[in-house]
Amino acid sequence: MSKAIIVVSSLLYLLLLFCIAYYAEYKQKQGKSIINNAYVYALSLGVFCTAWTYYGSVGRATTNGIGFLAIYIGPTIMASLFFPVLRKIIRITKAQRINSIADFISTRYGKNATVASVVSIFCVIGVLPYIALQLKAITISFDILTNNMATSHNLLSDTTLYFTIFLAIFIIIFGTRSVDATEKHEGLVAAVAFESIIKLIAFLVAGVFVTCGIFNGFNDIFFKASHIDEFTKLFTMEGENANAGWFASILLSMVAVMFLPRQFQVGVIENVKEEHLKKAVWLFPLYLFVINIFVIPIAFGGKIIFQNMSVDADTYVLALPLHFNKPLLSMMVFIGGFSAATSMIIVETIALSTMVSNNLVMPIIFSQNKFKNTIDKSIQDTILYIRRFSILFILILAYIYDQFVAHYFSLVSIGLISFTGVAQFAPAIIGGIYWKGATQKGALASIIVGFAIWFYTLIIPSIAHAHIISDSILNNGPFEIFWLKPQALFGLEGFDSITHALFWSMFFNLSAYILFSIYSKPNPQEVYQAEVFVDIDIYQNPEKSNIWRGTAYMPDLYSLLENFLGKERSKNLIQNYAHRHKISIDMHAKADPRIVSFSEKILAGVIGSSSARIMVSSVTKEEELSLNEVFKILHESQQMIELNKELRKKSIELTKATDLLKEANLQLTTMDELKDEFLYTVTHEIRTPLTSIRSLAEIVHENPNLEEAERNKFLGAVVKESERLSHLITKVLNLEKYESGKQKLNLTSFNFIELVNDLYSSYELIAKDKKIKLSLQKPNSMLLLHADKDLLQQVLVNLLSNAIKFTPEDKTIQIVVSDMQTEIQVSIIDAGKGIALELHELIFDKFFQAKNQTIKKPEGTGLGLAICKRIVEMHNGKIWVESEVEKGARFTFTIPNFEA
Amino acid sequence: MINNKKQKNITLSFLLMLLFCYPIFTIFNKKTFIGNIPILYIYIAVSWLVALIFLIISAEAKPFKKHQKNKNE
Repeated sequence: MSKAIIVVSSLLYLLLLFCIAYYAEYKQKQGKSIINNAYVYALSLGVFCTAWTYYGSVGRATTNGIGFLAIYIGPTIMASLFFPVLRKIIRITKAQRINSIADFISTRYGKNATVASVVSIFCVIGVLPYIALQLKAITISFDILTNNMATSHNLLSDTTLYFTIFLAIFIIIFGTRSVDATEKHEGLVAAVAFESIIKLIAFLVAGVFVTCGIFNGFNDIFFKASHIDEFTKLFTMEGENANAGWFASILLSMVAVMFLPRQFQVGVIENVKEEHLKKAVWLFPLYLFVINIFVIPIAFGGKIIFQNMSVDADTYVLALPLHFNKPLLSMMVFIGGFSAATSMIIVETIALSTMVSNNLVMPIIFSQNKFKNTIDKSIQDTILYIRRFSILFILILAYIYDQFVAHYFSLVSIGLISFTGVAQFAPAIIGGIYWKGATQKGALASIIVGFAIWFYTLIIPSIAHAHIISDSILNNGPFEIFWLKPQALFGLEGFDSITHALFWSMFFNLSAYILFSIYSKPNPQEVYQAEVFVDIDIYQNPEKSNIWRGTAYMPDLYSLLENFLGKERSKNLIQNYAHRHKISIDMHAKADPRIVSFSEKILAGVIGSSSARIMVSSVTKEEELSLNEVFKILHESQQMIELNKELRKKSIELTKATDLLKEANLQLTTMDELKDEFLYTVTHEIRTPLTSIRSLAEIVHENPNLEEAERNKFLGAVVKESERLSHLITKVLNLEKYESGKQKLNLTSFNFIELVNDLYSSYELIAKDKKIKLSLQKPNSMLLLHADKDLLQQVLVNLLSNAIKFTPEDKTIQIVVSDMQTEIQVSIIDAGKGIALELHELIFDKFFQAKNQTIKKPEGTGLGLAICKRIVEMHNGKIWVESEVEKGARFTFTIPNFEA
Repeated sequence: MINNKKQKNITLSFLLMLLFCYPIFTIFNKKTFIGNIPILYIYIAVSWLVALIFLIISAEAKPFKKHQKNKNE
């Protein structure tokens, strides 16, 4: 394919990236950030899949079968731990304004500059070859596409050089917008998320082409593969330690997916909201799953097609469409690989350049006195230029490595070697966020020892294989010391080199970490940072537990901040902060300790925490705190926080209790009102007979000459009224008894029919007196009931007396008793004037008469029905009335018959 | 509640580890085929899918349970 077309297409693609990045920044300025989105976040994590995934996985699959997948299954397992682990790291990073993984480790271990620089150097050593690998992938794929098999490159005609320069410009433009490294790189992240989509689509299209275009689906490929001897060993994982290798790869990738500088950059530093993790937890592993579906088909397909040709397995993705003469598809695959490579280069370079500039270059520059205590407007520019040069430096270094060193090594191993290198940070980070006892010396020892072993067991053999040093060291050990052989350290043999290196480096790394931590004393700053990191949920607002003590003057602080952030910005930041925390600032007086801490934190975002600490202490007089004082402050603040929590809990409880009380109070008030009304009714009812008794008695008393007959008549009336009175009082007392629950049921078994019969015969006579007919309808058999006989009799009496009271002459009252199996039902049907529908419920209410003075009320005390209702309910029965005005009423009650 | 979620996540990660590592893995590390596809490959693909389903459930199912609980208290 023509070289020009490919170059132009690649440049167009890069231009597209420019546009996307520019658009993202444009949107951000409008306040509509496009990276503030869970999907963009998950896609940006896809930077995990580099050209190594894109081309290298296929290569590994042709020699190891499915073993390559461990690198992607590890992150899937890790995703289940994103919530506990990664979220905690994100919280710490935001609270402490951390801007790189080196900054994270050094901030945890007392903001120590040595730790920061050691981690930065190891990151560069560990990751630079990995960046070079991406450049190499671009070169190789370009050569294949242009069919350029010339081995010697002229530097000036080397397209990779131009791509590298182009990328450097891109990263410098969008990566060094602000001196504050904690600010999000909107444009870059948007571009990287876009590239994740491109590489996925390109690889899937290639996969579908191979699987369905060249072959007839998965089954066909495996069918053809099974006829070739070479393949059969790929169908299982062979070798006695295959499982160990698989397990080691899973562990490595679990760590790498969080702690590779580029993953830390997109996953932690560029994270806008921690809620985005929720989608990323499954979307990112899903991405890995999908991008890997066609790796095996392409690998096996390529191997079948290119059986007798010398085609590098790493390039099958590209070679297959070319072989089948599909220029457009080949172009697409090339762009996909290009995007995988560039996205990795972009993010990794940004991450490394922040570390190099903040932790390696700036401490040297700022340790020179000329920057202290002076207002120098060029400092901001200096920082930006340091960053830009760091970017260039890293890319140039990677390019040189690619051109002059990389061809000595096999591509495949570089990725895993990087993973193993980065894994050396894992104990210091994971331990740092969960173990307060871990100290600076422990962390330093762990990282240095781990890297030394890593270098000895992985890098030395690579160099030896490349014949840069004698490979006798591999076979006989250094100085003929057999048990120091780099690939069989202390005689451990039989494992692949990565598993071997991982085991020994981790063994010594962890041992050093734990032993040095236990046997070294932390300084106060370390103790404080350990506390804040481990209990980040408590110290989310670290200003609350400020441990800075000393003297500082506002003008000094201001000029320091202005140097790095500009006049306008530092003024805004300080004033906002003071306003938020209600601190008054006097421009010419001593600064509040909280302002000092805040200034340090802002500076940390720009130049890293260790440099920031040095800069702030250069303009202030800090008092050394003893360990005990730190503990005391921490303890106090923790107590305060817990007290606060407790208080908040208590106040919530109080609010709840108040609500309940209010409700109860309301109920009481209504009940009180009802009671008043009830009392009013009762006294009213009592006064009527009392008045008549009194007037009758007065008549008799004042007229001694009354005739015998007359006198008897009056006395008879007095007796009758007194009876009525005592009857009423009995009823009130009874009701009170039922209501209060004092009345216990006296349960006996009896024949209900018998009870009804007795009542019927006594009331028949009373009814006859009033010229009313009484009829009874009942089952023939006996009806055994387990209930309180006396109370039930009272119910029947009340209902019957009411019926007789309201039924006019010559009418009939019906009593209907029916056996409903589980209960008995009794209805008493009168022919009275009926009850309006709205009163059907109210008449059973003891307060009915009082409450409804306006409603035309029936005669009577109004207590009879209330008593009936209570009694029926005490038997778990029901009572109700069916009636219409002028059509009589039908009172019905049921009593459950438990013995039925 | 937060701790509870943490525990669930950690349990899940252990389960996933088991699924993809040594003892169970060897059951399928054999030259057996379903169709023409080696059983090991199928096992990995299927268990990866299962892992994804678990991740989706654990991340997306009732994320606000905590608040509901608080209301009921």
